[in-house]
Amino acid sequence: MVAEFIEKLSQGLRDSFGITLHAESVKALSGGAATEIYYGEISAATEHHKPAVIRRSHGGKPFAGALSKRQEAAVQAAAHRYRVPTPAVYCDFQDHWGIGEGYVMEYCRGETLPQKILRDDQFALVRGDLTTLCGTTLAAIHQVPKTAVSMLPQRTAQESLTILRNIYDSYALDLPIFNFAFRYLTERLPTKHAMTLVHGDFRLGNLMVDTATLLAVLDWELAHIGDPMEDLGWLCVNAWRFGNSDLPVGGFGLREALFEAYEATTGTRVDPHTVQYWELFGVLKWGVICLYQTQVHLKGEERSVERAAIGRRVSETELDIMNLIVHGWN
Amino acid sequence: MADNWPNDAALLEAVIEFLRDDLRLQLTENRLRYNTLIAVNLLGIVKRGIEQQAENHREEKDLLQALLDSPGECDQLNRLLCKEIDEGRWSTKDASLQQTLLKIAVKKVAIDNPLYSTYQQLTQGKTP
Repeated sequence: MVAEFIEKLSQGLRDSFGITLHAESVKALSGGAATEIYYGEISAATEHHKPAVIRRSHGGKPFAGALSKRQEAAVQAAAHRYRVPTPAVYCDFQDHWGIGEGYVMEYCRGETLPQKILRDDQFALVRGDLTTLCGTTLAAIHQVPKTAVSMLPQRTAQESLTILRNIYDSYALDLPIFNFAFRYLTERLPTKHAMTLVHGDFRLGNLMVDTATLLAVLDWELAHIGDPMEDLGWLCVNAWRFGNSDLPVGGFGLREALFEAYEATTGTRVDPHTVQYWELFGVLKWGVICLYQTQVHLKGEERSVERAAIGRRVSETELDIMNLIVHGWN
Repeated sequence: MADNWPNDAALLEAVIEFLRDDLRLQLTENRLRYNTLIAVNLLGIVKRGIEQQAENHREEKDLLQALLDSPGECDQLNRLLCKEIDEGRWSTKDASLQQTLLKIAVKKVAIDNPLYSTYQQLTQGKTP
């Protein structure tokens, strides 16, 4: 099946774009639940054997609000155009190729594994700069003009909360801590907020670094237009600190440093209480995502031991919700 | 009548050891090694569940009955509490509600992932 995919992709690239895909160079890389990722070398007019990455829709059911591959390519291309560090998009799959949705993009060489970035000695220097780099990079993302990403869904804070609540309700599970969190957040909804491009999943795991710098922001699947503070909050969610709970920003930095770098680039003030709201929202959202993945397994849509296991991570989010509300934010 | 011997926890421990210390080391494919570790982790959860679930259940029932001033089993009590929270019958500042939910969450993570950072902080007396 993969061989058939590669053959059709080769043909499509050649016929539609005059690009040669070197089939023997293609190898599968690890993908997410909804995406297959391949490495492959391409040649076109002036460039030969250029490394590239192919992202293809798995065909599985995406989490509600996840973008199609076409939208994902478009937002990534727009971000790249506006100088966000992210791989350039070369081309989309065309419908008549018959291989579903996907796109071909620039290959970047770097590290994405959170445990390595947080613990390996070779990344000590970049770890020191990473909070500032994240602040400036998020600022760049949030400054991409809305007109350049008009293909994206728009969600106010209220709408995002309602959508999340609807997903939780659809599972008919009685988790009082989740109900409690929804009420708590409803009482503290940001009312007036900016509407900008939001990455939606900005955290280690989706950031590529080398020993010197932040090379690329990856995985625009959850991008939308909304309150930019959502991205800052998500980066502080305890799950994304990968064990380094004392460093709230991604397990590598302090909030003050993140806000300072962000403010210096945007010229706007960050309200720490708003970021706290979005951090709590993020914990709850990660909990609902865990419910979603578990149900995909339980309903037989896509069985896997990994999905079954994710169900037992819901309690971590319940604990983080209560810890934040009872003991406060660190 | 005594439990079958060796007991369930002992059987799980044997399977854990086989997967983790024998089979996994023979596997060459990354995906299989990774999934085997997940399987080991799940067996550990089940083992802790055997040891702790009954008491957790009892405690949760006691806490919820006290909070709601209502009899019933955990399922009904959780459903009732969710309904009351949604209907606005509880202030989110209510200390008894907060403490009850926190205690129940701690006990759940004791089974699901006792190495979790927040659980470690809260049970070792460190400031969260």
